[in-house]
This record gives sequence, C-alpha cells and structure tokens, in this order.
Amino acid sequence: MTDVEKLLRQTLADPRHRLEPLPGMYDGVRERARHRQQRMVQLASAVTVVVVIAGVATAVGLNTHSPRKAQPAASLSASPPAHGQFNRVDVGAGSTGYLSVTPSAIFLAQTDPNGLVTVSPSDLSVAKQIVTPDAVQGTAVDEDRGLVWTWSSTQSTTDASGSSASTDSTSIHAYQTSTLAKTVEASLPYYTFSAVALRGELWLATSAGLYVVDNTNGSPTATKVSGGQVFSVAADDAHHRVLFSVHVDTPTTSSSANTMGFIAVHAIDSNTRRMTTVGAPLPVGKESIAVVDGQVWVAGYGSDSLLIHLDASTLRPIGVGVGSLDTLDLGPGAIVWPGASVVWVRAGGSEALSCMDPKTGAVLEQWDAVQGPVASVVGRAYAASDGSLEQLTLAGGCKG
Amino acid sequence: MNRADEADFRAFVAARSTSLLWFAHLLTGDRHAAEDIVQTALAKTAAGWSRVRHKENPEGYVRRAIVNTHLNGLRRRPWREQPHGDVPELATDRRPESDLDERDAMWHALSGLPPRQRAVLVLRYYEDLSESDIAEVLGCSRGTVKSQAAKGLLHLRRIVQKEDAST
Repeated sequence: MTDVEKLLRQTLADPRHRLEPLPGMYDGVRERARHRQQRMVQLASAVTVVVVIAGVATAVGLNTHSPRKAQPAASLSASPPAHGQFNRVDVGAGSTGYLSVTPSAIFLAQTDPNGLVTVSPSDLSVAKQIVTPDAVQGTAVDEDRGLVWTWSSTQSTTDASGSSASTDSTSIHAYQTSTLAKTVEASLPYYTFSAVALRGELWLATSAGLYVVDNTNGSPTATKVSGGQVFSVAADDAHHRVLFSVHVDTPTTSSSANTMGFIAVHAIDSNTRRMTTVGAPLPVGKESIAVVDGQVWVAGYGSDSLLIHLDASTLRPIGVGVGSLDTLDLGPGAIVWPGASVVWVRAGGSEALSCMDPKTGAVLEQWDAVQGPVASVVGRAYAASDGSLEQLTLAGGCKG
Repeated sequence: MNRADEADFRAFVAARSTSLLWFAHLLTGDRHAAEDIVQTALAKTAAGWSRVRHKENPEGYVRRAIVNTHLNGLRRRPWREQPHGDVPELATDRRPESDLDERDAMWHALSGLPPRQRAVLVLRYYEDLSESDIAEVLGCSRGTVKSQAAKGLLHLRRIVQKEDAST
C-alpha cells in the first residue's frame, strides 16, 4: 500500500468526519417515504389510466390506421407535465460540471483535465477548447459584452498552535466568447457561492458579502456592495437590478422549527449600486433565485415553503409552489435556475428536473434522471449531468 | 410496512444512522448533503424493508442505496455547496499536528475528485470492498473501477504533494 493509500485510509477513518444525526431523523425518513409512496401511486394511476384509454381507443378502432391517433387521448389523461427525454452529447474526455448557453454557443467548464469548451449548438461538435488555470466552479455569459466569466473558489483550513484559521479565495477569469481569449483576471479573498454576469460586470455572492467585478475601463476592480454571507445572486436585467439573498436569522436546533434559518431577498440597482428593496424573511437555506419574464422565484431547503413565488416589486411571497405542489415532490427542498422563458426546478423529494411556467407555476415537462445545473435558451436546454452534457428534448409547452 | 417491520426499521435507523451519516459524509464532504442522501436512501429502503431486513446484510443494502442516491441524484451539487463542511474539532485526540494537517490536506484533495472517483475510493479504502463488489454497487465493469481508482489516487497524490510543497 502506498503512502497516499495509507493517508487516504486514515483520513476516511478520521473521527472528525463522523456526524451525529439531528433529532427527528426518523420522522424525516417517514415523511420522505410517504412522499415517495404518494408519487408512486400517482404514477401508477396515471399509467393505468393511459393504458386503459389506449386499450379502449384500440378496441373502438381509433388506432386502426394510425397509432398516433391514440396519443391525444393518452396525453389528456396523464398527469399534466410531459415526461421529458434527453440525449447524451459526446464532448470528449473531460468531466463537465458547469455550463452556460447562448443562442450561438454552449460553454462547458470541465475538470479532468481543467478546461473551458465551446460546443456548437448546430451539430454539437467541440468548436474551441482551452486549458483553464484551475477547476472552474461556475460560468456566466455576458452576451452584450461577448464575455464568458468563470470562477473558482478554494477554502483551506490550517491548524496551528491549537487555533484554526480559514483562508478563502476566488480566482475570476473572463474570456471572449468568440475566441476564448482571456481578457480579465481578478481574485477575491472570499469563497464564492454563485455569480451572475450583467453588462460587463460579474456580481458574486460570497462568504463576505456581495461583490461586483467591473472591467469597463480595462482594469478589473472588485467592489463590495453589501455585507454578510450572500449565498445566491440573480440578474433582473429588465429592471436594471440584481437580486441577492442574505441570511437574516440563525438556525435553530428545535426539530419542530425550520433548521435552515431565514433569508431575505434584497434588490440592488445595478447602475447606482444602491439597495432598492428588502424582501420578507423566508424560511429556507441553501437558497437559489431565478428571475424570468419579471417573475421572481426562490427555492431552498428547509421545513416548508421550499418553492416561493415573490412579488417582483415588494419581494414578498405571493404564492408557494403555485400550481406545482401536486406535481413536484419537493422533499427536503429545491434549486431553481432561470431559463429563457421558464424556470428550471430541481426537486429534492423526487430528484426530478422540472420545467415550470414562471407566471403560473405549472410544471410543463419533467425529467427523472438528469442531474447537475441546467441552462437554456429558447428552443434548447442542456444539463451538466454526472460529468456529461445532456441535451434535453423540449415538449409539453416547455420552451427553454 | 406492518407494525413489526416499522419497529425493526425504526430500530435500524436509531442504531445505524450515525454510521450511515459518516459514510455519506465521506462521499459528499458536506453535512447537509449527507443528511439528505441518508434520509432519501432510507426512505427508498423503507418501502421494501420487510424484504430488506431479512437479507444477510441490510446495512450493506442501505449503503448501496446511499451511494446510488448520491451518484444518481441531485446530491451532487458542488455548484451549490461548499465541499469543506463544518468539521468538528477533536476533543481528546492528541495526535501530532502534522498528521492532522496531512489528513486535512487529503480531505481537501478528496473534495476535488469527481463524485464517481470519490465513491470508488471511499468504497475501496473505507468500506474495504473488492473491485468486483464496487463494480456491482456502481453498475460498471471492474476495469472502470480500476481506472477510476487509479485516476483518483493520482489526483490525490498530486494535490497532497502540491500542498506539502507549499507549506
């Protein structure tokens, strides 16, 4: 056994990695089991109804000349969202972790080896490929400025003289979308959870606040816009603002209360960088924000209210999982991503990816086995699933 | 689930959840993700507990469910979560600091591995499973297990050496 193998074995057996279960763990398991059972019953019912109707249609001769004629009857009887299909795209050896999409290109951040890859959407071939200095942990495209931003955070902990110290850092790069030539290089001494590109700037949700990296004069500068730990950030370009979430309460260990604490969504004017709106506290953690067609959605993990529709002007809840709670088995929580005209929802309970109407909350299409982040433009959607690029087949009203 | 099965399942969760959480933490490096995975895997197992409880190794079955939930599910969210979760302080251990530093470096290096490589290494070096058993758990060939393990170890070696050189 080599030294690395020995050290690995010791590390895995290190009691510091032991976790104690929270109170009420069994209750959580029972609740999830109940959700799963309900979903299985719903699926079984839907399948049964489809089979029965297809059988009846066949028996009365509707299906004699064209098998397709049975489909409208079947789709009327099935559960509302269409069952989505997807295709795996071969983009070489690297493991794809993050992606961004424009009408003319798909940008993939890969590891093993580290790189940034441009894929042509027309034939899904690799158009350009460069090596990145580190493993990219997020991408954001600024179509107006022709930039694709990447960032990579590290967090190292040292233990010296009995005291612990943590050193976070984020390296930030921007590349020309057409050539992948590097045009911006910057760094922050904080951990970045998420970021969004808007008119030549990269807004970063970090462990020490909301930061904006500005490259308008050719020399990148990083400015702190808001303090506290900021976990999620989203662009609301139509209103010239950026939305971000701030932790506003401490988690409680009471099993009956929400253990993830509370957050509030804030809005900041992207031009003046002044706060314009502070939303109501929301009982979620590990939250994400999606703004599509002026509709604001927040998802997170917690005890309840895991998918929340916010009033765009007040940032207060106007609905919880509107139109979708019957379809989405959220379980412990959810993640949202903005699409071009839809909101993408990853539900924790069913592990399904859903395409949701941003106005009504209706689920338009659902995929069972697509993991990883999702990005879309009108008519096309992709996921970085388990290291691969998946192209989602859009149907059922999901426009991407 | 009948009453006997439910009582047995409850007892299993009470007795083994700490161990299962530890295992999930090794796979994910994140406390919240570990809790999610364990709860989901147990929920999946609960429906068939009357069958699972009579297996030779019910815990092994649940651990496989944990691995598959991790690899197939939304738990792989490095884009959302810090890979270096809150590591509890050692209260009584008096090992030399250099050992702890080495292990911290290794834990940090593990967080940079793709999930499937990390799972192969955890199953090999924590669960002590054979290559054949790992292949069965992950639904792949023995060759894939060998290559994933080799790639993972190579990556760890590079990272740990790099960190050693920088300190």
